[in-house]
Amino acid sequence: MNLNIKNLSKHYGEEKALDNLDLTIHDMKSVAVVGPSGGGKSTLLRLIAGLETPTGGLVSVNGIPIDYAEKKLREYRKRIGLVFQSHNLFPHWSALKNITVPLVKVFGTNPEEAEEKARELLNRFGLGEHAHKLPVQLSGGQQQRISIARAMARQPEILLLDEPTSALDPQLTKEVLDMVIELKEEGTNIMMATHEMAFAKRAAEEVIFVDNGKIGGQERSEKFFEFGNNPRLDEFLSHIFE
Amino acid sequence: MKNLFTVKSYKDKPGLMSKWINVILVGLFIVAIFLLALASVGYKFNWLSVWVYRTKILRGYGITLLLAFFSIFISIFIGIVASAGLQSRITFFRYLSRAYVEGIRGTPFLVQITFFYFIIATAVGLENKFIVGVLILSIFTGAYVTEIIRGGIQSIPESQWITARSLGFSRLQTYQNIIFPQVFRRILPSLAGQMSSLVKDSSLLSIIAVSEVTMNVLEVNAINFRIFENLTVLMLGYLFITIPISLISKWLERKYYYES
Repeated sequence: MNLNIKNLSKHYGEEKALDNLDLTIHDMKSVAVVGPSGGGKSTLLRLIAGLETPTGGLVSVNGIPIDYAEKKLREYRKRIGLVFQSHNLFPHWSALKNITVPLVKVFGTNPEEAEEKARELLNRFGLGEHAHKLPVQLSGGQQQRISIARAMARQPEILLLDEPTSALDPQLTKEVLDMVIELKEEGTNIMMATHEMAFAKRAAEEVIFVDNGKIGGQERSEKFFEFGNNPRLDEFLSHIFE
Repeated sequence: MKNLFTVKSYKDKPGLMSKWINVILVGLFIVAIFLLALASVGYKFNWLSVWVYRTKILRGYGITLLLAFFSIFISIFIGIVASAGLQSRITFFRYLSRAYVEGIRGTPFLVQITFFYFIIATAVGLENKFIVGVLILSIFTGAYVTEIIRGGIQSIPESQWITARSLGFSRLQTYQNIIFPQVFRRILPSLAGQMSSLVKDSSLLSIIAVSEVTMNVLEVNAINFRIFENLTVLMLGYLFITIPISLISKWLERKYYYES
């Protein structure tokens, strides 16, 4: 994936969630976004996902600038997969329908084809037996994996994951992260906000530190976790490894 | 033995045997109270005095059924439109819907019937009393339905709107596929209650001489003066409509069950 972000700002009233942020990502497969809560990670992902409109600035995804007019955004969102921390699935639909209905309604896929695709995805990630279960009958980890499968059903240019494991216990977290690694190895472009530093170090090619609404650091993952280059980052990392 | 009369927690259901024994007991209890009270008053029922007017009463009952049938659909339609109005981005529609809901819910039905019939219906030259009745009843109930639907929509968490948007659903598609099906399930019990009220409220249309069952029973009463027999028949007549509404609602609730 290629990302080109210039002067990106997002203000909520007085609060500046993002403040003239610049970021260039060139030809990366997997990027982890880390940083303190409230630092702007989520806002950044939501703007890249076309879920919110910026107060100012430009975002280009794979060379095409995002047009933030609502009509254009709806088209744009088809190119992107987005998974939130929790409550991704619609409670009145089975796992299968959660995947098929967006395909049918948003992409105009015919229902048989959508079902075939959904089943294939569920089977591939060992979720086939849960196809007809309602979200309430599934564990948090299964729900997140189904949400990721749903995002993958549209073959997104980028899969954006916004702290997908923050609401999960360590066991379920592992189950979700394993799926993310599998997707990465299959060649999916992934950008993931996370507090799982070990995962970021292992699975991401590049790590971005978002702090105070700006990019506070950007490194190849093998170098990112070295201390001594960046005081704010050192402070953040020292809290993690305490 | 104990299991016939009690359950462990209020969430448990009694067994089939226990259910029917208790249904019969409750029935006997209610009938016994009435009979005892009647015995002490010394009233003697004469059912034949109502029976001779059965055709007239049944004809009225038919009108009540039709009134209820049409009004249920129209009031729900009005409720959907007005609740959309309450959420509209156009301020005029928003205020208009609010004025409608508050105006109707804050004033007596009797007053509304009178104004609508003698002023509005007359002004537009609407003479068919049945149609006037259906309209008044629908407008009245629609205000309550509006609030029920609004509450239902607001009970759907914001996260579902955001998720739907991120998946590329339009606003209309989100309402159709995600919000309304869940709202429908959630508001069923209160909606059923409101529809039962509608059936009973239709009795007030007798004041503008819509020839429904209450009006006919009151006319019979003016001839035979057997008020308790007449009202018993009237009461049973309404129960025959309201109990099925309640049962249908319970059946639909089970059919669209998705939450634990």
